[in-house]
Amino acid sequence: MKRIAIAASLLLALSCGLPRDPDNTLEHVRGRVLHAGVSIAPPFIVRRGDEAAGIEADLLRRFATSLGAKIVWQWDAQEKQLAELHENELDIVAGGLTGDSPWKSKVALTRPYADTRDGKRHVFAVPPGENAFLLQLETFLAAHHQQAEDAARSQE
Amino acid sequence: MRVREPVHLPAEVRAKLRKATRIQQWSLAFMIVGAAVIYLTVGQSQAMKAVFVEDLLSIIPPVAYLISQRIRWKPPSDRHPYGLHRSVSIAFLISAASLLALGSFILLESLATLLKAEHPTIGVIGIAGHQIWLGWIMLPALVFTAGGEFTFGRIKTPYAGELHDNALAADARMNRADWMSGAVAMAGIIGIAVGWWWADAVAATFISFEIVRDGVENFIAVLRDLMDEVPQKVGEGDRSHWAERLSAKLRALDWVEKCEVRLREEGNLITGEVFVVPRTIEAITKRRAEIQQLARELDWRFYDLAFVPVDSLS
Repeated sequence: MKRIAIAASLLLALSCGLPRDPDNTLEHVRGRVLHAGVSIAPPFIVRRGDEAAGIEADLLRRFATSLGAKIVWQWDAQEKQLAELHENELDIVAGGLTGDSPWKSKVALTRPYADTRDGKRHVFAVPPGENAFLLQLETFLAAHHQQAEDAARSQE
Repeated sequence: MRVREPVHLPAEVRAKLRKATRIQQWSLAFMIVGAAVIYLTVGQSQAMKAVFVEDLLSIIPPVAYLISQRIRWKPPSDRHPYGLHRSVSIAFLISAASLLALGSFILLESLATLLKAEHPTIGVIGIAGHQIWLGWIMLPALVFTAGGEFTFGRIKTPYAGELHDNALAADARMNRADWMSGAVAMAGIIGIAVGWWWADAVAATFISFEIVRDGVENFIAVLRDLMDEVPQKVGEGDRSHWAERLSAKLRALDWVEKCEVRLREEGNLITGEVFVVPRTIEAITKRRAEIQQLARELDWRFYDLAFVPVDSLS
């Protein structure tokens, strides 16, 4: 019994701060810059000059704030951005991505962040294998699920 | 035409056979539950899907074993005058092929991950409002399945030896391969947690060599078996020299001048032909039963030896 308790507490101690990112995305973003690759996909991403607006842009802005990071929007074709994301050259990609994207084995997709009326599973994409960063984002999205859903409803 | 006698097994062998069947039924039930648990946890992650495929493969040998046990005791028929004991060898073939497939699958999967430098992503699951990294859920699931596989492998091995059942032995090896790959997956998840994306693939590559080797050995053994190799002890290269031992016994009989014995396996039974140059043909029709008796004293696996009296042996 004692041994199990020791093992359990050891595991607990160990699991704090785990999982970690192989390429330290979360550490690089926290307090610094979130490089967000976006492409026009209303109502999820709308372009206003170099700034982004829309449901997903709002979520991203809040996520960056929660990490104390400022956000840099990079506008480009989504395919190109996903390829860059696969190489860890971006931190996150948004723009009407869905869970059935053919890129799902190349990059890491989140769970759907809201139930939208179009019935599609709308997600964000992050670099593959950056599990701490993914966990951080997923936890944020789960906490903001209701807001995202309200925003999606009001757009329709 | 039903010329083949029924198999007479000693009571303790029959009891062991029943027990082995019972074990395989439980094993099959466990494998199905295990595969379901793995599908619901580990299998959800693209990177860990391989573990689910491995668990599906390990359902095959117990199914093959149970089917072969059903079939083999059917009496000889017009269509199958030699009976159906070879079905055990077919179950062995299927088990060995599954083992080989398992090893090859793990090897190719992990090499592909390493070569493409794919960083495995493990997602998140929401439980009661908490967002938990799926890796932490996978670990206890893997402890459950690997623990069960380890236990079943340990239970089956002695039965496989005592019953000389290669199909059961190959399945026990499969269980061993399964718990090893489960343990590797656990190490891999812990590795991924600390940021070593390659940990899982490297560990899997190492054990896959072992599983492939095991699969190849079993596969060669089953092919030899189907090509009527002389009877062997299960899982050992030892040929046991059944033919020599039986002919030594026969030569000691006063009516035997010379003899030669030719044996092969049917499932876990030993059968074949006994050629004898008799000193006398008196009571020659009683000799077959005598030889049968003698052989069975040597080992319970002897079944339906044909007795061929001849003038000379070249």
